[in-house]
Amino acid sequence: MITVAPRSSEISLAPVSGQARFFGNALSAMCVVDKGSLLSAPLASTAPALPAMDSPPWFEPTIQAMLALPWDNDNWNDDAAATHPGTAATLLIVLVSVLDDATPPPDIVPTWRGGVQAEWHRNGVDLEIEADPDGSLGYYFRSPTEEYEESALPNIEQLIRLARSVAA
Amino acid sequence: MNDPTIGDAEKVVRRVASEQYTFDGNLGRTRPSTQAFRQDGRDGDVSVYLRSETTPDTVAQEGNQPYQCVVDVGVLRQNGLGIIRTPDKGGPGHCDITGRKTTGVLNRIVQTAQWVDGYAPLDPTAAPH
Repeated sequence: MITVAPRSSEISLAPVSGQARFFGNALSAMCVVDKGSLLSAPLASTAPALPAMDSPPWFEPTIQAMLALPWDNDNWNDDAAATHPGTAATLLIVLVSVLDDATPPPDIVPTWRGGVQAEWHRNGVDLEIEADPDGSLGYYFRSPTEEYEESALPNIEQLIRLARSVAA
Repeated sequence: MNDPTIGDAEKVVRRVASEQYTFDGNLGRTRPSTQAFRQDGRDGDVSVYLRSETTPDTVAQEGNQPYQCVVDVGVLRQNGLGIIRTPDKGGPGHCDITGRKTTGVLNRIVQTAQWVDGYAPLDPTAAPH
């Protein structure tokens, strides 16, 4: 169960578990994350006709970490911006597109400009994917034999290949 | 910009927000995220303190980030960055890291970062979330 507690009331979302409908939950989670955990729309009403699929193990921890971002605090890092609505949802769309069941959950880090970054450091590899408030996406990848840094995402096949290198 | 009076062996202290560290499985410990060394984009100056000219308690009073890490000035320079004194921004010992901070540059720097005793995440082997 994902439970978030904004200032005025507590919002509970439907379970995001092995039996959950992954795409429906993903879309619902995007809506919630997009609003900075302030949207209370019932999960079941958001995507009732989508196909059933178990959520991958990385999904719920990632959502939990995104919900813990400084959504309404523009002084969390002295002069950094509060997490901008839309950045986490944008990042989540990318993650859903490129990660598979074997990918461990990333660490989720807010950026100075109000964006969100997912990062993994394992298997001798560093992978960081960043979504910025201006809508731009970037990534950084380093392995013993390769290093890439782009202010725009590569084609999806390349990012899937890079993401597989951090999988268990 | 680079101040030659600051030696390569000098260490600088950077405050780290509780949301901006990561577990690095390659190192087997936590460390600051690259985002902890970024202010105002890739070209924005990054605020630090010379360790020899301040104390952790003094640095802690300058901001609301609970953690602190140190990196060598020599490591900054090896990665193409500079350091200048900016006491007007944060008092004695305050400096700015100058130069273009690509993620690759920051990745190499944060891997050398060491937590300051008393200002480190409680569990050095646990992920932040």
